[in-house]
Amino acid sequence: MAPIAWESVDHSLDECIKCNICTSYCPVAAVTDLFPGPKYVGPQAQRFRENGQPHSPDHSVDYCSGCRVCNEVCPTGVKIAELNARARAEIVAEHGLPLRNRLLGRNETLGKLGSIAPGLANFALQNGLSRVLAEKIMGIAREAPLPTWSTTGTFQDWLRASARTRLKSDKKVVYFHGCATMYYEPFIGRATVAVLEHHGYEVIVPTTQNCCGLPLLSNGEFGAAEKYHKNNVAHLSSYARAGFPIIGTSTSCTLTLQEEAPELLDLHDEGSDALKMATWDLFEWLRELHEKGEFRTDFKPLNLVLPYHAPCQMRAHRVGKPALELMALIPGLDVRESHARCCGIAGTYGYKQEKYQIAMDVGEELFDFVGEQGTDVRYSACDSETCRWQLEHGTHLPSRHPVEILAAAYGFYDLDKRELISAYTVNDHRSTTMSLNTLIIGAGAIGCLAGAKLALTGQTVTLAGRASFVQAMRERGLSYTDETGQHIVRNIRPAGSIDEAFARAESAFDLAVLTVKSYDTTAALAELSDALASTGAPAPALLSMQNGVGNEDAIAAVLPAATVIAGSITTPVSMQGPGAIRVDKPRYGLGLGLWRGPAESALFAESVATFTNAGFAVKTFASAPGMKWTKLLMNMMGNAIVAILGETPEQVFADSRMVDLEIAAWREALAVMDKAGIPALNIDGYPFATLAPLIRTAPGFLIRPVLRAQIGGARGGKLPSLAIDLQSGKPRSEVFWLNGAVVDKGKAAGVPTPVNRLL
Amino acid sequence: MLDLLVIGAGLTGLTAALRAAESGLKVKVIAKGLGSLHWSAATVDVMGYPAPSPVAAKNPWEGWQSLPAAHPYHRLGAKRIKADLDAFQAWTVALGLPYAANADPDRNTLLPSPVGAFRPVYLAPKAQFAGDVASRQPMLIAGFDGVRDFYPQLLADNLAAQGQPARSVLLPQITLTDRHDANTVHLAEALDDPARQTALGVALKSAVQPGERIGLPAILGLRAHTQVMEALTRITGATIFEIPTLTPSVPGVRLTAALRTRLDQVGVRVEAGMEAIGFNATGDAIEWVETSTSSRPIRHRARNFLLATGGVLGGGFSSDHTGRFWEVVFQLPLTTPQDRGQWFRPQFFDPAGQPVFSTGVAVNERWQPVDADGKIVYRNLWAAGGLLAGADPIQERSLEGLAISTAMAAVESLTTR
Repeated sequence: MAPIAWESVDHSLDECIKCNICTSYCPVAAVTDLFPGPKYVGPQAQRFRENGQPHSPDHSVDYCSGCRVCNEVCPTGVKIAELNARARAEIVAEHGLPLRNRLLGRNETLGKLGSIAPGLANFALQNGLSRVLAEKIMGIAREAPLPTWSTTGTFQDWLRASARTRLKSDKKVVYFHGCATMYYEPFIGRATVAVLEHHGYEVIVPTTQNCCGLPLLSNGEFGAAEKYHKNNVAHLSSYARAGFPIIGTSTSCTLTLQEEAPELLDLHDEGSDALKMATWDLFEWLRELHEKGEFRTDFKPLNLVLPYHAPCQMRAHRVGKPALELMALIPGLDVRESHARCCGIAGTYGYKQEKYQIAMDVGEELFDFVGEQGTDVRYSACDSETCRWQLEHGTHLPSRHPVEILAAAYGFYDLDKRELISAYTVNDHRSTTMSLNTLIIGAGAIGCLAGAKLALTGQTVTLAGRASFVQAMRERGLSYTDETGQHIVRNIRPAGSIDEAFARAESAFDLAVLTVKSYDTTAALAELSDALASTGAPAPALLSMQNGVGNEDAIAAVLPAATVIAGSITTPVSMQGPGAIRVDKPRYGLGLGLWRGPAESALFAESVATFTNAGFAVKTFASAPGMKWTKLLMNMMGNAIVAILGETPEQVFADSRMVDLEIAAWREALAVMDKAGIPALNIDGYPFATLAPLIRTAPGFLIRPVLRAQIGGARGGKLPSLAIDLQSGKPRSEVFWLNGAVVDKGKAAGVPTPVNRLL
Repeated sequence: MLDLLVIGAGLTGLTAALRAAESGLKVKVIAKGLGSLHWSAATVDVMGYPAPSPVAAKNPWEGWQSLPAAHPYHRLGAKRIKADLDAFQAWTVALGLPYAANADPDRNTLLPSPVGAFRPVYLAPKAQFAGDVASRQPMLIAGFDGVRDFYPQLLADNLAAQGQPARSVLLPQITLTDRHDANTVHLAEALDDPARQTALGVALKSAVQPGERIGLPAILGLRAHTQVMEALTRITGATIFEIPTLTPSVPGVRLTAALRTRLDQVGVRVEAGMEAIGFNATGDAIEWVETSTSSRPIRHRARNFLLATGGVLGGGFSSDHTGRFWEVVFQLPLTTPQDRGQWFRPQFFDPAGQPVFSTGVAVNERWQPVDADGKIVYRNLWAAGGLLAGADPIQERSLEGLAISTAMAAVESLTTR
């Protein structure tokens, strides 16, 4: 690794007058004898670390948490925290580093790995047994507040899905999201994008950014940190030179880009300087807007008492407490400022077994402060992720980033669920182009769901269904029950047939959504093309939200000029009666892929925007067939066999032979897809792209437990669609669009499919 | 827009900010680090040695004719300074950290220093004031094994040599804390715990003799100071008093905390870690002051600016080996000679003091910095405290009197403009 550079701190060292103010305010020295205080391990021990001294004199410097309170209070400007960080790096260079610290330093790698199968990773990391093992083997404290991977996709997933709906503007900013937002808390990024767009700024998120390197720096791995920093400089400095502000929401990342990395690694090249000067904390940047009179204050009252702690890394920016200043503008919000020195966690410090209790003792000052603010306090707030996790651990209260508070005050963020709510109207441009006149064909569970959510966000919706639906709709409106309770939706125009829908329409439909069962597709399409022919209306874009494959091809054949969009909905919804549905799991996952149409199809983009704003977690797929076939794999799972045996999925899969049959059916389907050049994808919690090789090659005893868990989790005691059709005495089922499709495609591709044929 | 930006968070800066906020101004304080109060005994010394003499002044308001003509006290006058200090004392009472003064307002009080010398002070925290040597009531000086820089026997011997009856006792450090190593602030925090107060009280009770008062290092509680004093007095039945220590000084930390709590209540932010590195003036008015950050400097705009960065010790001035001597924020004209040879007298303890400490920023009658011709440098800039020319606060023992009275005078001047 590069030699540790001491030159820049040498001068500041001479300024130390040994007054001990640093030791008096050091939060670590206040609670433990293991750390004698900044003055001793920093300026005092430094003379023994001068060049030429063979060994680092004192290993207690490893107990410095790097909070930088000493720098803040030093009256003469000694860079004590930097001295300590270098001293630790010297110990690491001399004695090496335990595996644990190597791991903790690699937040980005851990984030990536866990995000492949976040549910599994969370389970693996968060269960009691693993934590005991992690403590025994590696020394990671079992009680420490480790984060959980996002199970609703990474921030990057959301960025891809929302690419077409995000604001385009001449005013642009670059967002440095950091690893925590990417893998653990993507909602922070979503709230940030929403707040920035609310101010009319287009948000550029370069995918080439990587970890800022702070975890490595604070664990003494300067060489590895340097690689990260140089990569960030290489990819971000051009934005800086072009005059774009680079805005971060993780205070430790922004501090590292600005000062920690260049200072500790002695990198003072033009690129590092450009990045340093262009990087902003979000609230510092918003405060500048405020000073220019451009900060939006169209807040709705937020009636909360909110204890706010400006984290050490924010205070180390030396720009005051901009989040506090801006949150003070929110009506109803009673922000209480913490004067506690530190929450204790200090990045990865408090994760370490030998430091966990120190971190908790340090944090007590802050936890007590939060506790003193009364019993009706619902959240605390803090700008730094690890501090929020520590705050939640120490106070048992949820903690939020100030940008979440801001987004909630603007009215487009749910502080409990931590998600953007309904349509947040960013600008007039978007709200006008988003209005689609939509016809939904089929008033089943999916049709009612799409209709309700679109109507709730003010879209024009006509829903064509059976007479019983029309009657129910006219009598009491559509009953839609979700996680927030029951809603009666009346602004949907019911129609007993497609003809009637066209007759009642005031303007041409922009979009027709097909939600009928696959076996009804042919009839519905015939009715639609008759209606188009008789009214002379232009063909709308067609979106199939149906299960199975083959529907899009059928649409494309009947309506040769229409834009065709493939859709896969992954939210379990139950019919409670005609025109009455209940959302079983509020995931609202919706995959959309352009099946046929112009590459830059405006209708596709508007559909994505419309459904996103209606509250669907829209993810777009470049390969529409891949998406549909992957959904087919999901629908196949525990469907036909359960229907045939007439037992619940749980009962069926207690029998290993049935599980093996299921695996065999999947293997056939995967072989067919492979041959036909259709990729398996990762969609909404079902990582088929990742699992496909495993399913195809791994022995049964490895796959069975995973499959059982997945099916149990997804279906539980609920019967699948084929079984419902069969039991309700319907003469037809969708089996031909599921297992049947595998057989058909297999025939065409020359792949044998005996199991699917049997089913 | 701020009405006033105060630069410096020592006694001068905090006093000025509080006085200005109480007058209805919108105020902010910025400072490079936490102020020099942490190094001070936190007594208010008005005038201990007006003349180059080793004898302390009994009356702080007399003997001023020996002070230089440019001394700020001449401009203020005793009556006004007394009124300012009364106001300061009223603050301390309201803040729950009451200061006491001699029953005779024209008397200094002599209190023991950490090595047992007599220090002439005007106001002192009540806990220190009970160490007044005038009564000659015998003292038991209690220290602790392992506590640095406080040696009870040395202290008692020195007091006795000056006619103050005193003896000493050394208690084990374990009475205060289980820690191997602790500084004064840590020890004071440990004593916030009632169990520790009882343990210490019991140990003192068995050491004290009837008629004695007990002097202890100034570590008697940080947040629970009043409670510690009450507990020890109750258990021992004796008068308890504190003797200031070397840095960090707990009485100074307490006073800083009390003033900052009050400033917080009246909406004044005190931002530490903000070093002023530049400013801009349009014509003769300062527009903004710039402080360093981890990236771009930030600008603090205000209608008025008050410089309270202190003298050489406080960091308001800097110097180099060539003899250059400068004021660090606005590069104000200084009365200090730009020749190293004239900074010091040959004798370090020369009773006349050292020129480098009595020079500094010259101000007019409105407390505005002026140049050598008496012309105002910036029309919205004021200065107060240890950086003012004409006083040698260290030699005179006038640092806090100067800080409080000039801070209040400067604020009054800028509000009555």
